[in-house]
Amino acid sequence: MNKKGSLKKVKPVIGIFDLTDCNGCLWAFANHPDFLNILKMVKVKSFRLASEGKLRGHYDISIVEGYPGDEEEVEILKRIRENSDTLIALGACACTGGIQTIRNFLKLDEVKNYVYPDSTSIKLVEAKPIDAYVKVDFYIPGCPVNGREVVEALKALILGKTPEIPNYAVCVECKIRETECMLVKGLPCLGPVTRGGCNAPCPAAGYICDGCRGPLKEANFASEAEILKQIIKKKDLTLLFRRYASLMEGFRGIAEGEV
Amino acid sequence: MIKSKILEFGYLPRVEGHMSYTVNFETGDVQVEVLEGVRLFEGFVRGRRFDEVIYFVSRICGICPCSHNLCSIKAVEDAFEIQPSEQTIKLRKLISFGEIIQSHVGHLYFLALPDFLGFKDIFSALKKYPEEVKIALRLREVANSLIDVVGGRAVHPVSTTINGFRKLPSETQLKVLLDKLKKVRDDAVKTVELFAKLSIPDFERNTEYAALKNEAEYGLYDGYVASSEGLKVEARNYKDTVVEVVKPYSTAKFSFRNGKPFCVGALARLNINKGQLNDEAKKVIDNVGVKFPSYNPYHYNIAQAVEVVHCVEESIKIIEDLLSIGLRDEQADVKVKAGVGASVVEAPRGILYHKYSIDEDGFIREADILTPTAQNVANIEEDIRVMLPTLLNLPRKQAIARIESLIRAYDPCISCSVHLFED
Repeated sequence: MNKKGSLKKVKPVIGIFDLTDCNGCLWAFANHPDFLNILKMVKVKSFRLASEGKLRGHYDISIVEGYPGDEEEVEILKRIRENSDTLIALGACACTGGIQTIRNFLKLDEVKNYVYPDSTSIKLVEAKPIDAYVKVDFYIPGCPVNGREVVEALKALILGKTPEIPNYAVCVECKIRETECMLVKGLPCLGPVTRGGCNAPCPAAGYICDGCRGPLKEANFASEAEILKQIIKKKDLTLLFRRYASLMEGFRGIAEGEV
Repeated sequence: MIKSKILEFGYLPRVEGHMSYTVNFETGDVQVEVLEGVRLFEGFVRGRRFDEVIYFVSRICGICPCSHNLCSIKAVEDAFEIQPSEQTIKLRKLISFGEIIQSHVGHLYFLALPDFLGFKDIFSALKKYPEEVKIALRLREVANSLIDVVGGRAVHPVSTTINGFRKLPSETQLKVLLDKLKKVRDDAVKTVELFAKLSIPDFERNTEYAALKNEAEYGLYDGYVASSEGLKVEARNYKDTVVEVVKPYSTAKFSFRNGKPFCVGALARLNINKGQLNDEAKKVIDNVGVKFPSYNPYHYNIAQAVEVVHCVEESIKIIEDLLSIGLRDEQADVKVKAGVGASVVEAPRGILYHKYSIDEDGFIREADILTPTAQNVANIEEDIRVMLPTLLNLPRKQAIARIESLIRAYDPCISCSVHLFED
């Protein structure tokens, strides 16, 4: 204890990195009222969007938003991992591959030539989450993330605790909010098989949960598929699972048409 | 050289997305390098249905997702020949204004301001400029509330849809928003005053300025496209007036009109439509003594600040209007048919264009998206090129600061810019 009677603590050094993405997760974090407060508790060494970005030296905690879009980004990701004690995957792109995993079901060359018909220099890799390449310590899922979850995760790590992301379905949050159940209304909702923690804003706004936080472990995917088949055609069911997390176990089979 | 920049993560800080630039002071060569990875949205939305694509495209950008969502919705409505109700349009405008406020304020205080105050970021500025930071947080909180309440979520809205809204805000929610908006009127004015006081380079380059024009109001949600050089084209045909060129050093293509670069965004909007700003915005321009039209790209920041004042006031008017009329549950009728549709909105950074070809089952067959930053990169490059001779006598650090604050003034949204139409 120092003279003032408080525990002297060294601020953790953090790096906040964005690969290929829309920056929506970092922006959602920046939208949270505690964004500046929580960053005051750490030493931000790299944060390209809001400060300086260069990768240098060691990081206690690194947050990575986005997915590696090409080989160079895979290399940056590996360097970040090598230089960080704790690595957090931020958002759907980093956790489950994100919206661009839709293109994994198309012929990549054909898609690329549609958008850039006269370019030979653009080299892409299949859209995959960052744990396809490096070990991830914690995942904060969602498209976008819930800003509060980022603040809470950092708080936990600063205090030496393990961040907690819920392991219950989105349905729990609809019930807490007293939102009318989308499935009961006859709409194709993925709530029962999707990981909660977002506070279910989509059903509250009149839209279905479309699984942006990825599959809930050990959810009953087969049963969900059966329910959905009574509401929508098989083709639409397959497409519904081809949004943000089609590579993930539980979603993958349905996304590949095994229904 | 580019490769090592990428591997050290040496992109330009404090802009959205990955970019860099190369300037050769001897030869005068300038390259604005957009290095963002490509995700191929126009490619992968094909074969997906219109009613999900409108949400996919918001993921093009996390800072202006509502603009993509609304432009996409309008393009589909154009294809289906649907004219949404007055109520729907008013609610969409609230979302659009909310997005402009939060994006502009975020850019002004977090991305641009540190340069002018001699700080490397807003965190360092906190101790010396606590009031300014509080202003930014208040304005953004209100703007994000606006989008959250009306659009369902601040980043990637979900209640917006074809011909209506999935859920309407309640009267109580609107009253709370109204109260909050009134409380930040002063903050908006102070933002203009702050940026008007900053010392900026005395650099000018007249270019073509293009923006939405609407006879009834300052064009942001709807209108035709006009320019300072007499362009007048329907929104759905705007793309025909722009040519894009691939540059080997950039994943974003460069846009030209009549063979020359041009400018979109807050500066272009003010230059063309200043007369249609509301009284509060006009008053603040007079009070700080800035003249528009301005050909100084550093005035982009003040133009954005003025638009924050304008949008706060317009949002207040719309909410008061909605509260007096009352909101009605409307049946959002959508008849799907084959067709081609296109539309334009003014995103925070400028003209945004979406075009779709839709089949009889509502699936997208072709997609074209032209974003504001894709239209501005050529203009930014030309500005730097023209400005270069004036920087030769400056210490290198200062020259770099001028170049970087010029790029930042345009508030580039690089993730958006790598989403371009096919030739």
